[in-house]
Amino acid sequence: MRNRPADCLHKVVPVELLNIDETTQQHFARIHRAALVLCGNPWDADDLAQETFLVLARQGGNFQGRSSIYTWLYGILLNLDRRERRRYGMRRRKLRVLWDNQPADHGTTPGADAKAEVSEWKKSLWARVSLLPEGQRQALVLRFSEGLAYDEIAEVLECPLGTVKSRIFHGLAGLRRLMEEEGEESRQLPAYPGEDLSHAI
Amino acid sequence: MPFDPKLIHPDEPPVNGAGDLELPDDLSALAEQLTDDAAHLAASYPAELVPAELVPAVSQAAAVARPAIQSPARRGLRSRTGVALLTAAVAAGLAISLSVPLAVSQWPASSAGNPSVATAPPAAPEAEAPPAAPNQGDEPVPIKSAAPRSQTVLSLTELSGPELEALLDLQPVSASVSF
Repeated sequence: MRNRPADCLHKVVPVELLNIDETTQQHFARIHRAALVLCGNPWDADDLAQETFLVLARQGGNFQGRSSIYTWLYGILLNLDRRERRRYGMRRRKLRVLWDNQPADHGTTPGADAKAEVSEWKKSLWARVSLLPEGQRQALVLRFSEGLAYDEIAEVLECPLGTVKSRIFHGLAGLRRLMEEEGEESRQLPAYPGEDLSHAI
Repeated sequence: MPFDPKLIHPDEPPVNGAGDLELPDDLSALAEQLTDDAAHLAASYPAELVPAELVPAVSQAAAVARPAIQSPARRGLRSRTGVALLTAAVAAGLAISLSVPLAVSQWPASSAGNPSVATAPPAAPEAEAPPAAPNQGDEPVPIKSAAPRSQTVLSLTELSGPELEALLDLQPVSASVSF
């Protein structure tokens, strides 16, 4: 598990001492990494991470100082990601209505609703994780990408500790089921060129 | 044999004594793979540097939102002021609600000599009454006193709220009612 930053260890930042610029400099890379895992491409991850800190700047007064600023930022990020997914779904449904009225054109170009995702993400397990239910997906990202402890994940997701463990367990089980449905074996993953596969099953 | 049911919850994740998840080997491998994939993605698309336009934008947004950021002491003062104002408003409302029935109960006695307040049918029926026959001589027509109207005095204490409000609406504008 990745080492967590020092302030992640339940260090409480008083709201008066919350330096927005310093916080941005300190946490942008990690928030961007989580956004990249969630979005699947660095461009959307940039937007999502920057918007996270803009929300921090605008709503810093709402930060109660009861938790670490780190978990609070993750909460903002996940809320923004949820909003983006909802918008994307609505946009896709609208475009689907338009396409249904057009004559069938089985071209090879991707549709206008196709998400831009980088190949590294598509080949990774995170592409499958994105198909899981929201709660499981968020728990898996916070645990295995960001290395948060169970109680920190419970704090971010605002749910009991047992729920976090259940979501992680069932998220992994759902991931395994998805792979079985795709006819893949876990030993064939990943397919990164040049990567040492000796640790894989 | 004692009844000792063992509840089985197949949906509950396996947890060891320390409260940590005990994942099967295949799920542990998946978890490890997820961690490796995340590290690989982060290495492929690093974001070590904060975008140049973000810091001024964040500073500007923070400056705009700064009045909303208050210290706990100021928030406490503000909440106490709000509670005080709310208490004062409730007390004023209570005083008014208590004084209204009191004033209404004293109203018939004080307004007995003022029929324009307590009578339901005002002067309109009289104004519409047919004029007296002109051939009855030049005897002046006695002006009816207000005394007979006393039989139409309503007991305001028996009126409901809407009825009382309607009665007040029917009064002339010049009449002033104070509580």
